[in-house]
Amino acid sequence: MLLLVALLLVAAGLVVVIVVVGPKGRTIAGRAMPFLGLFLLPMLLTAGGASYHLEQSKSTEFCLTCHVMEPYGASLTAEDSELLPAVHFQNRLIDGDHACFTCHTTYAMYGDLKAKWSGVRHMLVYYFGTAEYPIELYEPYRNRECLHCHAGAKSYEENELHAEMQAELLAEETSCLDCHGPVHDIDWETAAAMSTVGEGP
Amino acid sequence: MRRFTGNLDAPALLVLAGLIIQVVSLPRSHPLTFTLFLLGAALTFVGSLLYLWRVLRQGLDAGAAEPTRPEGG
Repeated sequence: MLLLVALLLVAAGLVVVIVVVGPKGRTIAGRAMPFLGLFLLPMLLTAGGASYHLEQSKSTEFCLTCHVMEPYGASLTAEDSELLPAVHFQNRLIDGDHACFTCHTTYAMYGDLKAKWSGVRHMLVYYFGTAEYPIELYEPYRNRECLHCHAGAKSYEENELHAEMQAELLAEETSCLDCHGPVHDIDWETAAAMSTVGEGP
Repeated sequence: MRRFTGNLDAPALLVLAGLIIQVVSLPRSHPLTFTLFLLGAALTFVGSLLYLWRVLRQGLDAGAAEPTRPEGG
């Protein structure tokens, strides 16, 4: 990350030099410097920065920095709970550092980008609108995200009910959550008391 | 007083502003800095594309203005 910041500073310095010095004629160096400073280097560094930020934004810590998400994050550590997040998180069935993202991404092409674009929409609503509980998904939760891990697992495959309902589950006619709920069982009075929705994350 | 003879134009300013925003937003991972980074990236992207478009247009204009050699000369 430090290297990326240093390179960004170098690139910004190069742009300043280009702005101050101005065009240097038709020599190769005179043409190459603006191309390097105004196109090649900024594009490469922006791609590197985007990749770094995207990776960082998958962390559980990142999601829970926004206090609107605190009641949902509390489901991970709920005591004696059969909530799906608690079962997965506390039994290490998912990577604890990516607990939210593991379930709340789309396991399809550009799924990570789609999930993060939804996150940007959350931000826009937060700063320019009003975030209201309960926070709802933009679209119904798909079985595909569950089956990404569970399909092929012995515990899933050997369950007779799963075998009987296989076609329905794959066609998304029946949701996994119809039987395996609740997901985030939130005490809304406590959530409202601990949250100051609308005052910033 | 000496006149500024530099290259102060929209693409350079956009790229510079975008890079500065990226530098500021990169060290901390937070939803706000992530959104700021996207803004910086967008400015950089637009500035770079404007620069590229200008270079291409200058190249095309120069090609069109070049005199053609008479045949059979």
